[in-house]
Amino acid sequence: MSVVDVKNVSFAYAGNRVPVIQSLSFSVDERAIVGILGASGSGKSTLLRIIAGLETPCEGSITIAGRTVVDARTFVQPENRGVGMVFQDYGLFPHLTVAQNITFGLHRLPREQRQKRLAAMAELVQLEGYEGRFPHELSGGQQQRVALARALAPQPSILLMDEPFSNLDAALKQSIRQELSDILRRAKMTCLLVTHDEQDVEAICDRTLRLS
Amino acid sequence: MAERAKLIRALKKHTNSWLILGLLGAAVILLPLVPIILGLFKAPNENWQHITQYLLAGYLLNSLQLVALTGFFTVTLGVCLAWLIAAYDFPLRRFFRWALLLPLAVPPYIAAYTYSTMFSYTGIVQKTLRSFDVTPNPKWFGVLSMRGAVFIFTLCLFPYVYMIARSFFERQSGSYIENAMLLGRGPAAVFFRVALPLARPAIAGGVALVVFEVLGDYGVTSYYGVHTISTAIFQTWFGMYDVDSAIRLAAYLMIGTVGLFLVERWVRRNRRFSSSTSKMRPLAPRRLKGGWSWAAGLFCGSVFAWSFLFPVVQLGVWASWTFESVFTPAFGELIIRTVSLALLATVIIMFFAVIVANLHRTNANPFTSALSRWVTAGYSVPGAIVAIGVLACFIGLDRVLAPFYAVLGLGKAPLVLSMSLVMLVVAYVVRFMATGFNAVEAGFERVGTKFTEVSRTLGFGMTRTFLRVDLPLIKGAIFSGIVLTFVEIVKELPLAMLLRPFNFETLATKAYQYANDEKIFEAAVPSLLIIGVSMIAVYVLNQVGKEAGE
Repeated sequence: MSVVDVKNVSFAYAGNRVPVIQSLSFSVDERAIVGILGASGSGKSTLLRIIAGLETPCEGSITIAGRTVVDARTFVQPENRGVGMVFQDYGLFPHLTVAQNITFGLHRLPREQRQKRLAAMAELVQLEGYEGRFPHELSGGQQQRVALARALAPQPSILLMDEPFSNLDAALKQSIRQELSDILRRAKMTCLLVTHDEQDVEAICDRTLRLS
Repeated sequence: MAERAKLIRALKKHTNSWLILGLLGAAVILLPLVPIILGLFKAPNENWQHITQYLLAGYLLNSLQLVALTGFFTVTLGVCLAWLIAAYDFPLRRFFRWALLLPLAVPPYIAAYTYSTMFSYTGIVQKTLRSFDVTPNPKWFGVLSMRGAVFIFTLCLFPYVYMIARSFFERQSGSYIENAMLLGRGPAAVFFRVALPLARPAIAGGVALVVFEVLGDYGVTSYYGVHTISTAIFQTWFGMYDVDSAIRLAAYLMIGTVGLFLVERWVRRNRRFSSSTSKMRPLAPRRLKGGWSWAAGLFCGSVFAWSFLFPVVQLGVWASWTFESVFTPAFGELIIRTVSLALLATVIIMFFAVIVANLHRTNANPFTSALSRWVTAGYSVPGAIVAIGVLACFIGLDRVLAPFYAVLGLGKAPLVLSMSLVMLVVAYVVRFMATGFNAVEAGFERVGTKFTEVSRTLGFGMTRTFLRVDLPLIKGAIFSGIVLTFVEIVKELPLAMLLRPFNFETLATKAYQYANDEKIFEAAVPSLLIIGVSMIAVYVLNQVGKEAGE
């Protein structure tokens, strides 16, 4: 069963006639990890933003977990789409601790379950003991794991990752790729991952989508 | 069909309580300007003929002369000081760097009566000269004239040009200037051929602020007897009791200022293209040697003395003579009333400023950018225009509400709202929304939209996101917006003069009233209080400038 269905989606930035994305269709199966490859400017990140509801496509429709989130008449706000997203520069809230960042999206859960979920997430990304720290007290790789834990905590139907390795140095990249792959499979996550590096895709993804 | 569906989708997507409140804020600012625009289409009355025949040309000429002269002198003084401080190092440079902003804390109307008294026959200047047996012609010191008004405006307003030009020189021009020097050009050529042309848009931005202040001024020009369009509006209103003609004058003045406003926007638009986004190396000041360094220090020192030190010390002396008689319990009450009124207006302003700035940031589209431009237009509209527009609106509103008042037993067609403080608060909101908005917008710009987007994908709506994420991140910017707006309101004169209810005084009107009644020494106490409060704003401005530099 497919978790995400993208049908004939086109997108152009305001005031720009040439669309960045033109009549794009694809679907992502449950628990699949799909890589999106493309040169810079090919609309990879824009595609993620459209799925998340941060941009509105001019044509086409998107279905997430069986629900239409955008078509010619519908627009579901990003907070109601059940989508998790890890941003390129992570976007960890600088005024909140690691624990507060991870539990940020769990506001609908009672406190007890929130704490349980926090513990589970910290274990998943191996950051136990770091809960009280602030983002600026963490290394780049640790920051990325917090961002990942935060996005996974509310159990989204799909995880979107925008260039997850672009902020890491080459030496770290290799080990983190493997780690990420393990985490995603352990969490049984459906994931859409944007990158410009073929090796990322080879290491992690089941399937590749090329944007030109 | 598809287009219509999309339009409905867009409407559904964007309609929320933020948009509705933002529109409400815009309406509050729009409404007072409506009667003024409508005034242009009404048939003029007999008074108007008299005004156009005998007075208008003179008013117009005076306004233009005042603007042109003040503009010229503020640019000369502001740019020279900015260049000196940015490009050279000399004794006390670091002190003067911020001290030259302090004249902004002295409202021109206070400087006006302080200087006119200091220069009068019994004032300190002539007295001191006479004690040295020099008896100059008193005519030389006649400041109650166009010359005096230009002098006052230049001293009080040059920091606007100085501030913007200096930060431009310091941050943006380093590599160009070093290149010019490496190409073998002397200091004069570097300044006139490179620095000055590059800084033109920044200077235009500063001088626009000066021009808006001068056009909107009431205190200086009326005290010095210079008839401008702004004072003419007051005169036709209170002298001739002819509101229609006053509205018509206001409309002409507004056309002029809106034109200037558009020109300024246009000039600033170009700036975005001229300054590259890549990181610029700051300009490293060069050490001046020997006589030149003393001359530079002396020049900065004398500007500082005349624009800030002398008037403030003089006010301090006067205040020490009259402090006991002025500082009564009634005066304490006056302070409390001024502060609470200013706080109330500030809270309303910040509320709408945050809403419109957040709307514009999260949904950047032509509609929201028009909305944000609209709410900031008030600063270019002179106080007299805002005042008369607000008054016209509220009289109209009272007429509409008359049946309702009758039910409440207030009598037939009483003036309830237009006799109340509500009117003054609305006028403050219209006039100073831009101050609060710009501060909030600068804060949002620094934070960006990244955190907001993260929060949205984690299931928080716009309001919760604002409270949990945006607000903690921009609280510094909101705080500086509050301080700047609050101070603007505390020192504001024309709106308070025109719209206050009977017997209601603010610190500013009290100071002006004293001065107008020739009780200059008594005026010193409220004046010093206003200057003290304004110095906090100058401090905040300086801090904000520092942060932006990092």
